[in-house]
Amino acid sequence: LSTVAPIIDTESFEYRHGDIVFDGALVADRDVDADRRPAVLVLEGIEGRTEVQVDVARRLATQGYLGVAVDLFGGKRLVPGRSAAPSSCRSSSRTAMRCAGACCTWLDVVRSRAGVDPDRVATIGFCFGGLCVLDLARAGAEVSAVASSHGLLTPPGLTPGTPITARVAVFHGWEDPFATCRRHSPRRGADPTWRRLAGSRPRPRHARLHGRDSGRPRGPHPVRPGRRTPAWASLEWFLTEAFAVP
Amino acid sequence: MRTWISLTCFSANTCDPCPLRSRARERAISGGADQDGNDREVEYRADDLTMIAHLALPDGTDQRPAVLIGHEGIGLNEYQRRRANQLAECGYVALAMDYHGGQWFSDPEQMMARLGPLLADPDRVRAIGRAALRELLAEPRADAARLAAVGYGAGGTIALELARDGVDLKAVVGVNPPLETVRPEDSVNITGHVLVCVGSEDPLVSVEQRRSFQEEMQAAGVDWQLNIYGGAEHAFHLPPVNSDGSLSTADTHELSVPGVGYHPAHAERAWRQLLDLLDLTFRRP
Repeated sequence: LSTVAPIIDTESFEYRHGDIVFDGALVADRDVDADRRPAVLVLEGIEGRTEVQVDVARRLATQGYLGVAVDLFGGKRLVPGRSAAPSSCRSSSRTAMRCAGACCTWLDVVRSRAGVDPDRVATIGFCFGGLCVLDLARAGAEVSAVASSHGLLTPPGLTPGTPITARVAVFHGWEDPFATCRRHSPRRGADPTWRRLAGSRPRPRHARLHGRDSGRPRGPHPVRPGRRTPAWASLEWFLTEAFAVP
Repeated sequence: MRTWISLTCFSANTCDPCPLRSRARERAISGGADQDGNDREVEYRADDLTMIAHLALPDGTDQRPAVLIGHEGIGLNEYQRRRANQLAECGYVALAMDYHGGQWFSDPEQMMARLGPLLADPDRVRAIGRAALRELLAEPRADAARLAAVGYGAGGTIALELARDGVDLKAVVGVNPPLETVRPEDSVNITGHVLVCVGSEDPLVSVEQRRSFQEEMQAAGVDWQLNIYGGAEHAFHLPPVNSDGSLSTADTHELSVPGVGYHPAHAERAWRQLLDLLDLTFRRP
């Protein structure tokens, strides 16, 4: 194994939809020798695009992917900050529809980029972003995989009966107050590759893939940027498998 | 399988190099690992039976983390012996325990006649587990301070009961284990991380069992995770075997049982999760 630090290129990217400007960051490892690399869209929560997303995208880039930190809301943000309850996002069908539209546009943007394999694109989302990626799968979007971390689980009911073609992984905390495991059973039949990881103690941290809440108490595998937690390891294999060329 | 390996190489120049990405580990995952001279059968007494276990050692002479492996209810066969060898290739001292006195049950009724009373008696289960543990730790290369237990099916129950009994296991893994216990209050004694892997369609591990287990773990303050594999039935990890316990080249088990079935993709995922947990537990500071 090489111990040389990789050279990571980060490119800001904007696109305009109507009057709204959407802001993203494309992150790639310069040393990865790939004509057409898989891409992974990273969706954050209701606070809009953050540097945490870029950190996750950077980590994905070191694994050979184009990591894309995307802005779902545009125009700074749609929902005002973390104080807004995530459930309010679900209650607003307008919000959900708008974010689904932004997701689809981002998928088109990424697929059209040079150096990206358009047939190998996945999305991962945190919190509200987790809800969005699951909605994307429920809508039958042609993505290789979706992974949700501490995302809301309630189906929007906009596309009932639509077959899910993407691989699905759900990482969730048993004590997550916004989407309790007690209330949600896995959907059967249509999505045969889903997995759920219900981590615990003291809160949903164990199931989180990044360490934004680094000040909180932790279990034996602290979630920190750069650390390979069980959830992150699981996500790595999940993406590897999803992008494997048959 | 090959694609997994080649894509994994993308990570070779990350800033977070992982020792898991060794050739030995990839051989272990692909099922190609086999010890040559570092494994042997060991006998010991437990439950009024002479147990015939399989001990596998890694290369070298130093002490290594020790892993106890519990087999499925049908008995210890080549599958779990290979697992022990594969873990040894990954650097662990591994003992594939025996809890049937060398018997292999090709008749489900005979198997349940032994398993039913056994699993209902946690004292017996724990005594059997502790006897195997003593045998494992009798090996000088086994590091008693770095101990884990993994179990498949009823073997998973033994691993979990050992943890509930207060054995200082740094990691406990159950793949397709029955999740019921008559002493859920003992889970406060669990010290290490618990990983359980079950199939969503497993008729022997109901949603209610999962829920009770989760609440038990949570109430005891255990650091735990539960992986549910979509579409998988009971024993999804176990490749087809013949009625005599030998590994089969067929696609399905010779003895077909409703609700029981091999799922190769999920089997590999669960195995990777197990290896990841051991690696994160024992090799990272």
